[in-house]
Amino acid sequence: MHALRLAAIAALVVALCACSKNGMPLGSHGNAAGYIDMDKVIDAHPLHVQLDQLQAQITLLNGQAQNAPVPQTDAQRQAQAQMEEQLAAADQIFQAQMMQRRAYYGQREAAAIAALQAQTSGQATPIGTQLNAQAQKIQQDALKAYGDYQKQLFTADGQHLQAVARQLQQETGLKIAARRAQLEKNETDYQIELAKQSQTQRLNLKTTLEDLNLSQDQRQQAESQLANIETREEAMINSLKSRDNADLKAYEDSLQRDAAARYSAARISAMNDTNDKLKARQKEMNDQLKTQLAGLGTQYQQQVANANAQLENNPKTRAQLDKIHAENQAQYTAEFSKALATYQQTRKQLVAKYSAIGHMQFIDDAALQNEAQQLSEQRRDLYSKIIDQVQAQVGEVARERGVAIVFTSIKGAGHAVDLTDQVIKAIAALPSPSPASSSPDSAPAATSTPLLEPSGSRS
Amino acid sequence: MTDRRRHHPFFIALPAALALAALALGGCAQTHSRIAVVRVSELEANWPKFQNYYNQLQANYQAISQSKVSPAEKRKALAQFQDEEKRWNDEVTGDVRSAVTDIAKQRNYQIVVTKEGTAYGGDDITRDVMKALHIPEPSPSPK
Repeated sequence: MHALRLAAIAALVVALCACSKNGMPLGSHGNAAGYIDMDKVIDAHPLHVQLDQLQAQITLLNGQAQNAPVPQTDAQRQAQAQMEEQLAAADQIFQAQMMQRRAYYGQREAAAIAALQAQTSGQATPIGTQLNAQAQKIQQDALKAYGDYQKQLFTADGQHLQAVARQLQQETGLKIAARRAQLEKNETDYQIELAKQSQTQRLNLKTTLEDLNLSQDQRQQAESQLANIETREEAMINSLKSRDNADLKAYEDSLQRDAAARYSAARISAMNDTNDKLKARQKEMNDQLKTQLAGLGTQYQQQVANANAQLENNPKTRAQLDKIHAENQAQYTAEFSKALATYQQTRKQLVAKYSAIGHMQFIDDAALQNEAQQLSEQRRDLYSKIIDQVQAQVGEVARERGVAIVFTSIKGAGHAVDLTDQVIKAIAALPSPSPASSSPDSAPAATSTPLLEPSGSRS
Repeated sequence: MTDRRRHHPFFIALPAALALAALALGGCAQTHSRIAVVRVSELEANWPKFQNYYNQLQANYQAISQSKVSPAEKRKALAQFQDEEKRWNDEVTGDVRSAVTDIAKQRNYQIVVTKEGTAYGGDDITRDVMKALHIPEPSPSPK
C-alpha cells in the first residue's frame, strides 16, 4: 500500500513540473513545485532530542517489562502469584470505588440540575426527584445483591480451599506414614539379618565366657570380641537409619512441594472461576440496570423537556448549569487524583512486600505499561507539535519562494525545488522551545480522569 | 521516523485513485489551474462502504489463515481472496477517482493530490469528495 502511495505522488510531481516550465500558474502563491526531506527536517528540529529521549525511555520501560526476572524457586513463584492476586484485587477495589464516586457525583449533579430546573419552572419539587430516588434505590439494591453474591462466592472459595488443604495434608500424612513404616520394617529386617550372621560367633563367645577356668586375659579378649560385634552391628544399623531418615526427609519435602503446587493450582482455579462468575453477574446486573434505568430515563426526559426549553434560552441559568457541572467535575477530579495516588502507592507497596518475601525484585507490569503509554502519548503530542511547526515553516518558505505545493515524499525530483535546507534554517531560527512544555523529564501525567456525566438527562 | 510511515492495516487503499484523477486533468491548457488535496485517511475512516469491505476482507483473511485445510487448498483460497481484494480495491478507487475528477473539472483544479504526501499547498476538497460519495460527516469530538 505504501508503494502505491509513493508512486502516485512521484507521478504527480512530474506532471506538475511540466506545467511549471510552461509558466502556467498552479496556485495563488506561486507556480513551482517543491519538496522537502521530512526526516531530515525533523532530525534538525530542536525538539527532536526530546523526541529521542522519550523514545529511549519508552524502549527502556518496554525492555524492563520484557526482561523482568523470572521466579526460580517455589517460594518465589508463590510470592509472585500472591502479589498478582493482590494487585488484581487492588485494581478491582479502585475501579469499584471510582465507579461508585462517578455515580455519586453524577447523581449529585443531576439533583442540582433538577432543583434548578424546578426553580426555573416554578415547581415545588425538583423535576425527577421521585424518579431519581427510584433510580438510586434500584442501583443500591443491585449493588447490595452483587455484594452478597460476592461474599457468598468468597465464602464458598474459602471453604473449598480449606477442604483442599485438609485433603492434601491427609494424603501427605498417609504417604509419609507408609514410607516410614516401610523403612522401619527394612531396618528391623536388616537388624535380624545382622544378628543371624553373627549368631554362631556370638554363641561361641558366650559359651567361652561361661568356662570358669578361663584366664583373665582370655576372658577379657572374649568379652572384647563380643562387644565389638555389638558395636559393629549397632553402627551398621545406625548408618542405615541415617540414610532412611534422609530419604524420608527428602520424600516429605517432595510431597510438601507437590501439595503446595496442587493447592496453588486449586486456589488459582477457584479465583479464576470466581472472577468469571463475578464478571458474568456484573454484566447481568449492568444489563438489568440499563433496562430499568432506561425506562425511568424516558419518563425523566419527558418531565424535563419543557424545563429544558426554558433553560436553553436563559443565559443566567445556562451559566448556573455550567457552574454546577464544573464544580462536580472539579471535586470528582480531585478525589480521583487522590484515590489514584493511593492506588499507585498500594501497588508499589505490594510489589515491595512480595519482592522481600520472594527475595527477588518483582516488576509491576501494569505500572510499567501505564508509564510507557503515558510517555508514548507525550511523544505523540510532541511529534504533532513538531510537524505543525514544520508545516508552518514550510508554508512560509514556500510562499517566499513562490512554490505552490510542497511534497514530503517523492521518487524523482525533476525540476521541483528542494526546500529542505531552507526549512531547516527556518526551524533553527525559531525561539527555543520551553522545556516545561514537553520535557520528557517532567513527571508523567496521571491517568486521565474520566469525564463526569450526571445521571439522567441534562438540559 | 516511524511516525510518518503509515503502516496501513487496510487491504484496500485509496491514494492510487487520486493520482489517476490528477493525470486525467494534467493537461496544461487550462487558464485557472489550481491544486487541490484530499485527506485520504479521512475518507477511509468515515466511509461505510470502505469500512465494510475492509472488515470483510480482514475477516476472510483471518478465516483462511486459521483454517486447517491442506496447503494447496489454502493457496487456492488465498488466490481467490486476492482477486476479491483487487476487485473491491478497484471499485472504491474508481468511486473516488470519479468523484475527484468531477469536482476538479467543475472547479478547474489542475491537479489533485493526497494531503498525506504534502507539507504545504492545495485547497482541501476532502469534504466535497465525501459529500459526492455520500460519506457521513464525522461527528464533532466532545469538548
